[in-house]
Amino acid sequence: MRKDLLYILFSAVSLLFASCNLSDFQMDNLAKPTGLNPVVYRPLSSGTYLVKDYTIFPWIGNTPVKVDSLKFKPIAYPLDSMKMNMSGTDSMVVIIKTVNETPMKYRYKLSFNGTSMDSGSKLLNAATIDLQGFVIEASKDSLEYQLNSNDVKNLGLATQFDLSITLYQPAKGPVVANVLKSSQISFKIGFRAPVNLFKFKL
Amino acid sequence: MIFLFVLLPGTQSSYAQPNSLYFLKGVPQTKDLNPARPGIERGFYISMPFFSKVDLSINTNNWSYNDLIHQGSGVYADSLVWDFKGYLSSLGKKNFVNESAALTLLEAGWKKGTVFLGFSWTEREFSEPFFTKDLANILYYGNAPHPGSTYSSGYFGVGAQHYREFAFTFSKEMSKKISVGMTAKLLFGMAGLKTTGMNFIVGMPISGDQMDLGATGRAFISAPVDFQLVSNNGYHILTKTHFDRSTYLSNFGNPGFAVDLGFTDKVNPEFEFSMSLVDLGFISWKKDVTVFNENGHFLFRGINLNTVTPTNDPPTTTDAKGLMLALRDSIKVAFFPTETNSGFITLLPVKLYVAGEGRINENFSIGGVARIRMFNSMIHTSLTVSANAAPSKNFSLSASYSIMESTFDNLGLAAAFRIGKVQLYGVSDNVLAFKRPSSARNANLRFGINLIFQDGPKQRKGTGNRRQARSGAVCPML
Repeated sequence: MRKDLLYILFSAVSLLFASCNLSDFQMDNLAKPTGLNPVVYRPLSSGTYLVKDYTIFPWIGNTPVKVDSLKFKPIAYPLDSMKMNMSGTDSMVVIIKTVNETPMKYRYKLSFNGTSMDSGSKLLNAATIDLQGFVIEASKDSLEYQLNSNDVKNLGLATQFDLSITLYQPAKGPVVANVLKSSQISFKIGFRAPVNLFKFKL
Repeated sequence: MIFLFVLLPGTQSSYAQPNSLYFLKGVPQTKDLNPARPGIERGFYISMPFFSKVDLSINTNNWSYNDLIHQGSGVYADSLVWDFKGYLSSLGKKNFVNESAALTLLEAGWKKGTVFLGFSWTEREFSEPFFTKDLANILYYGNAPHPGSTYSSGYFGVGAQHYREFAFTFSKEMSKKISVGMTAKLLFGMAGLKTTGMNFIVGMPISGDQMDLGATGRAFISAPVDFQLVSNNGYHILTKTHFDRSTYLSNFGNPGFAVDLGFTDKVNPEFEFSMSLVDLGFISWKKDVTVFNENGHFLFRGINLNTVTPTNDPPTTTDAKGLMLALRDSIKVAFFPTETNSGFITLLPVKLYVAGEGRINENFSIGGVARIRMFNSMIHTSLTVSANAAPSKNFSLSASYSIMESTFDNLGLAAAFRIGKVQLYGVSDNVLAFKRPSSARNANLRFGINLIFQDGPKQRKGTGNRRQARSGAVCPML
């Protein structure tokens, strides 16, 4: 009797080992993976634009510059059929940081050829200048542009970036030719975007 | 690791034999955990050829499949969903998943008097990917939370081996109290993968204007295939060619050696102390070796748009595509790993067992065994206590409770049963894992078949001697 009980017990243990419950995994009911969207921040490009290089500059010395506005020559960045990899990206924030060392206010507009998109434009501050027109402190701005999924798709279709910059007289203080001529505006462009790793393709 | 999974279907080996086997009576394979404890009192045994024993094991540092994939809620109530955030919260600072398997193709042993001799041929495989929580964090959160700081992934990588083991065991009872044993193992590596120092850093100022990227690490691979790093649209892709299964399985070009050392001391008639060191050894990988060495650094600022002199003939045009391609090439050069073919050495995951067993009566004992396992510069510990019974010469049983890698829900069973000369046995440290494998942190299973031939004449001596012989065969320590 005792032996029989032991055999039964052993059989039960064996059965337990043999009955691995693989249905516990229910792989047939597994939903597609979602929720792995790390937010990637990346600097993209930078550029510095010296006023004298991008404008026709007839003034010399300490001559006051009295024009209401001064438009930079057009600046183009063709992508030459190269497409940007936007896979896995459904939204994006483009961050444009600018440093204006000129004594004038300015607008810039970034356009994307091949799409109907552009950055829009906004009047941004001039550098702080003293009574003689010399720059005391540069003006820094940071603008963020939220792109939705359609915008991101459009961005991927862009064939060329165009940058236009226009300077305007400041609200106060003199704009002196030799100061303006050698001053510059700098841009640093980056983006922040959640990337769906399950849709991202190399 | 994926390569090994694809390459080695069914040829697996065990690295974490169940602790519950340690005190199971009358099973010769207890020598695998301590060669001074051969498990039989006298006679000869041979295991089932080509299917002598099978070991399977998988364990993590206290996270489970269920932490990553579990039943959903709301509209996903009838589905399993991926829960990366929940998985992240279940991770420790350093994480691993270890899987191992072994198939013993041939095993035999013989004990006469105080001496035991044994031999076995086993195919073993294991892999252990390891990673830090910081690495998982950046995959989940990205690098956006890190401006103004330097992110470090911590060390990650994988160790994986498939090797053939020929083991020769010798043990001897030095006195009525002391027994010692040693298993010498000749090893032949089939395929191996080892990484060292793999990590990367991303430093970014608070302005986010640049990223200081660095990556270092080495990957050592030995396998009868040709690895090549090829450029695919600017990315490095690892390809392999020329794999031949028969060449792979007949590979004896990567020799190694290991020993198991064991010791038992019957402190008094009621208590035995034992200790063993298992798999102290190495494999020297010399054949079909590829070593990738990465030590790259790059200061990423994006593309510099001021590369052309502004023209008087607007627009001023900058070749943006050319700049992007040049940047990509620069990164590619900075992080292109060098490749060599110098050999390398891997250590086996060495285990230290320290055990004590107290005898309650002739058929019943209580035991405790602590195991410390060292691999990939990490120490894994477990502690098992068990109640062990051998109520008849045909049946023995151990019931155990284990604490393993900070998990506390490991109830184990070990049982051995004989019909005539045929012995079947099965062991697991966590039988609950078989019912709920998706939530198990530790799962292991060993089972096998032995043919045990006792030395008959000694068993036929008088009643008292027969009883002693019976209990000795089943409970050699009692």
